[in-house]
Amino acid sequence: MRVIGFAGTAKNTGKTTTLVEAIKYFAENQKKLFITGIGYDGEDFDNLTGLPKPRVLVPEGAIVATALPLLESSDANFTNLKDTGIRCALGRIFYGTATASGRVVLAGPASTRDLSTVLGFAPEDSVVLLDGAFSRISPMVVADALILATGAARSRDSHRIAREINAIHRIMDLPVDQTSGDRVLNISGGLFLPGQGQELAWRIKSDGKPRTVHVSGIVNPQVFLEALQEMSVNGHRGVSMVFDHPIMLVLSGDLLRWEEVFSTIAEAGLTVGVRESTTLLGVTVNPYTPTESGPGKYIATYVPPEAFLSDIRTLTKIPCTDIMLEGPGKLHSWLESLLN
Amino acid sequence: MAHTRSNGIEPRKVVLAPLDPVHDVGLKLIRRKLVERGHHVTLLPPDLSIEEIVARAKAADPDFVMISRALSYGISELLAKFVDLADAAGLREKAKLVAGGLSMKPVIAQELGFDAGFGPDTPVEAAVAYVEGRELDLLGGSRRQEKPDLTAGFTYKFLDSEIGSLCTAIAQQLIDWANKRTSPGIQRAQLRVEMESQRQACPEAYSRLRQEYAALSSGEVKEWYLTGKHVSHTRPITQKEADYIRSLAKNAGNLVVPRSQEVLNDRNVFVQYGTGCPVMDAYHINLSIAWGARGVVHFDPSWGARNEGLLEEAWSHEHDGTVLTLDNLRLIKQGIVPGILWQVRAHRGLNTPETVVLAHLSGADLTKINIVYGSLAAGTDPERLTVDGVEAMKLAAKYNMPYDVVTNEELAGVPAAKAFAGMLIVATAGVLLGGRPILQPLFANSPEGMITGYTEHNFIDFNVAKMKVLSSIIDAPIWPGAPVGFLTQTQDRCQSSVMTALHAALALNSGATAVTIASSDEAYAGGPITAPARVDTLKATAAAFRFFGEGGIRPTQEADKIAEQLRQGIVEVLKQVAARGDFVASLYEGDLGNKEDGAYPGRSGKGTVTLKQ
Amino acid sequence: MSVKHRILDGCDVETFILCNDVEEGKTLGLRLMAELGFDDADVVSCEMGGPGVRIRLRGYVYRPSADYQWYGPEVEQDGTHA
Repeated sequence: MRVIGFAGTAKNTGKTTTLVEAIKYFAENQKKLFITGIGYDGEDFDNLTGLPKPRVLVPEGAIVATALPLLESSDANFTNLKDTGIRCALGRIFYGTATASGRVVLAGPASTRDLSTVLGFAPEDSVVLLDGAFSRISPMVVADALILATGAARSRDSHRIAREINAIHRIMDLPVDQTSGDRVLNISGGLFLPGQGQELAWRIKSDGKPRTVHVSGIVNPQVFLEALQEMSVNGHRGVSMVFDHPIMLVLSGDLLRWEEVFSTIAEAGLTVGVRESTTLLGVTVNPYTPTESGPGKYIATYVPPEAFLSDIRTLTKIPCTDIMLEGPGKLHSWLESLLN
Repeated sequence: MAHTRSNGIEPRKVVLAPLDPVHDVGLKLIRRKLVERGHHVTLLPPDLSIEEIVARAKAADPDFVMISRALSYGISELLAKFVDLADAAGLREKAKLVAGGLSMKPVIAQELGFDAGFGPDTPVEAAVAYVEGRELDLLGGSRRQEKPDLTAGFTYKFLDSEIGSLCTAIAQQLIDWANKRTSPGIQRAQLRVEMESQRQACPEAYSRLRQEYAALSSGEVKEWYLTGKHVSHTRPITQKEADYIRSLAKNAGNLVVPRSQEVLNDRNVFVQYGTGCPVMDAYHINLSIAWGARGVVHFDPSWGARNEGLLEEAWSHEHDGTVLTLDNLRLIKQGIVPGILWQVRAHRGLNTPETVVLAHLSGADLTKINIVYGSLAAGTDPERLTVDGVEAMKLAAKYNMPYDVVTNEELAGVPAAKAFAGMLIVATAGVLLGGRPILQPLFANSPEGMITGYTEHNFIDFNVAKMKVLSSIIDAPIWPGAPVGFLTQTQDRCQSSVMTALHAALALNSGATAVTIASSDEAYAGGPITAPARVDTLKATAAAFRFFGEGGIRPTQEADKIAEQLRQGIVEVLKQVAARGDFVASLYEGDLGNKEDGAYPGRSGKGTVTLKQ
Repeated sequence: MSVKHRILDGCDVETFILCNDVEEGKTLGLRLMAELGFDDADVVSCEMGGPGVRIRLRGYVYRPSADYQWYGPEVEQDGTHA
C-alpha cells in the first residue's frame, strides 16, 4: 500500500484538480484505488466563496471512504458498504466500492489518528489517494509521498511562492535519522512557541553532551533560532537535532524564517534530521484566486499563468507544473514511480 | 478517571476559546449551561493566538475544545491552521474539536477538519448535548411529529346554565325539524359514499350512480357530468403537475422547522391555502409547515358553494380557491406530513354534507360547519343549510371529525352577540349529535367594533371580551379565526405581519386552543397570495410568541364590561329565538342577524328541501 | 433558462422612489418592473411620505394554473442556458 497525499498551501490552490488527474492516471493504469480526504471536497460550489469547484470523479472499482450520506447519494453506486467506526462532522464514515464511474463528495477523517484507522481498511495492494483541505497538512504524516499545491490563492507574488516552495522542499528533504540509545536526549513538548527557545536550549545544555537530541512536537522556526542563540553553539558541534517529521516544522510560524535557520545551522555545525519522512514528489502551481468583490461576494481571478509558472520554476529546484496550462504529463511522470 | 455523577451525566472537561471578543458571549452562555450540568469548563480569554490556544488547551487535557469565531474566507484558513496545530500537538488524541459562530455549518466544519460545527441558529442545548454524547440533529431544528387533538380535555358542559338551557332547547328543536327533511345535498352525500365504494369494485354500478348524481347537480357542474365540458377557468391537472406534487411529497416527511420558528411547535397555528392550483398549494403547504404551521385549511372557490354538486378528477383553477374534488384532496394529502392537522371546510354552501364525506375519504382531520353564517352571510338558503348542516354534523360525528363553528358574519356587520348566539346554538346541536365542535370567534376590527367604539383605543379589549364570554359559557375549545386580524391589516406587509402576529399572540395568550393566521397579502386583492407572504406572517407570529412567552397581554377594564354586554346580548338573542320556537324562521326573520346588520338570508338552494318519505 | 423561472410564484421589489405624489410613485414603480422584465406586475402597497413613496411591487412569474417551468434545463450561474 502506498499513500499519496494531496496537500495545499491554502484553499483554492488546486488540490482537487491534481487529485482528479491522479485518479484518472491510476485508473488508466489499472491500479486498485482507495480514496479518502481529510476535509470536504467534490461539491459543485465552494461553501465559502460560492464559486464553482472541480468535481471528483471516481472510476468503477475504486474504494472510497467518506461520510455515509455522501456514499449513498453518489451516482457511482457504491456497494459493499462497511463502517469504519469513525465519525466526522457529517456523520459516520463508511467505505464502499464504486460499481460505476461517478461523482462523489469526499468527507473523511479529520485527525491523524482517525485517518490511520480508516487507512487500515485499504487493501494491501492499493494506492491510497488522500485529499487535503485548506492548508491543512498535519494528517499528511501518514503519507508515503506528497504532492503540494500552491498558487495565487496563497500569494500573488511568485517570488514569495518560490521561496516558500524552497523552504518546504528543504524541510521535506531532511535526512531520516532513527538513532536510538544512551546518547539520545528526548525532549517532548507538543508545541514549542516563540519565547520557549531558551527553555529548549537549557534542557539540551543540562543534559551534558548528548549526540542526538530528539525534539518531539511542533517546532516554530523562531523557537529554533532562539534555541540556537541560547546554546553555546560551539559546545554543541556534532550534535544532531532530530524532529518527528518534516511536517512538524511547517505548521507554525513564517515558513521563510527557515531560510535563516538553515544558514545558522550550517554555521553552527549542527546537523538536522527527522525520524520519519514523506517524499515530496512535486509542486503544482495554480494561477487562480478568488477575489472579494463585495462583502461575502467573490469572483474568480487569475494571475498571468505562463509568467507565474516560469518565475517559480526558475527559482526552485523541485519539479513544478501547472496542470491546466501544461496538461497532466509532468504529474504522470511523478506518479509513475508509484505504479509498481 | 471520569466518574458518573448522581444526575447520570459524566462530567467532561471542556475548553472554550473565543477568537474575538464578540464570541465571548455565546461561549459564556455555553459555559453557564455546562457548569450547571456539572462539567469542568475553562473559558480562555479572547485575545490568544491559535498557537497559545493549542498550548493552553493541551495543558488542560480536555475532552472538548470549542472555538468560536465569525467565519470569513481569511478566518477559515486560520481555523484550518488551528485544527492542524491541534492535531500535530496531540490534542486530538483525546479531545474533540468543535467550531461555532456566524456562517458555521457542518460542511464547513468538516472541510476545516473540526469534529462538529454549530451555526448561529444552534441552541446552546445542542452544544451541551454534543458534550454529553447525546444524539441531536445538528442540521436544523425539529418538528413535532404527534398530531394535536384540539378538543382533548374539553367536557362541552355549559358553565352558564341560563344560556345552556336556552341553547339546548333551540338546538333540539332545529335537530328535530331537520330530521324530518332531506335535500339534494344530503342525497348526493349518500351517493358519493356509494360511488366511491363502487368506483373500482363495479364500474357499471358506479356509472349508474354517477348519472343519478348528475341529475341532482346544477349549473356548470351538472354540465361537466353530462357533457364533459370544463367548468369555467378550470383545466385538468397534467401528469407533470401530479409529478411535482409527488416529488415534493416524497421529502415532506423530513421537513424540519428552523430554530427561529421552533416556538411554533407547541402552538397550533393554522394557515389557509387555496391558490386554485393543487401544485401551488402543495408548495404553499410544504413551506408553511417548514416555517412552523401546525395546521392547514383548504380554501375552495366561492362557486363551489353555489352549484349543486362537486366535480370529480383533479383540476387546476385560475382564480382563488382550489376545487373540491376527492382527487384534488388526495393529491394535496400527499404533502400533509405526520403531526400536521388538515381542515377541509364544509361550512357554507350547497355541498356541505358531501364535503364532510370527501374530507373523511381523503383523510382530513377537521372540517368547518356553521348553519347561521352560511345562511346569513354566504348566500345559502337558511332552510336548506339547516337541513344540510345537521346532516353534515351527523357525518362529522360518525367520522369522529371535529369541526369549527365559524362566525364570519360579523364581517358583514352582524353584532358579536348575535353571531355568538348562532354559533352556540349550532355548537350545541353538534354536541347533541355526538360531535366535537370548536368555537370560532372572529378576532377582527369588525364593523360592530368600529361603530360601538369597542376597538377605538386598542384591539385587545374586544377580542379578550369574546374569549372571556365564550369560556364562561361553555367548556369547549376556542379557535379564533379565520383568519385573525380582519380589517386591521393593510397592504403594507410590515404592518400586516405585525397585526397578524399580535392577534395570534393575543388569541393564544387569552386561552385559545388554536389560531388561524393570514398571510401578509391579506389586504392585497390584486392577485394570488405568494409564498414569501406566507413566510412573513409565520415569522412574525413566531417572533411575537417569543416576545410574549408566558408574559401575557393585559386588557383594560373595558374588556370585562364588553364581556358582560356580550353575555347580555347573547341571552337576549337566545330568548328571542327560543320564544319564536322555530330556528329556521328566526334565520329568515333576522333574529340572528338582520338586513340592518348587513345580513341577508341566502337564496341558493331555496325550495329544494323536501319532507322525508 | 432564467433563474426567474425558479421563482415559485411572484417576485416582490420593495424600495423607496423619489416622487411628488402616490400616483407618480406607482407609475414609476410599474415602469421599474417593466424595465426589470416583469410583464405581469402590480403595486401591492404604496405610501407617500416625505420625498417619495415606500413602495412594494410584485411581478408574478407564475400565477396558479400557469405552465410552471421550475425544473427546466439547469440554471447556470450567469442565468444563461446550460
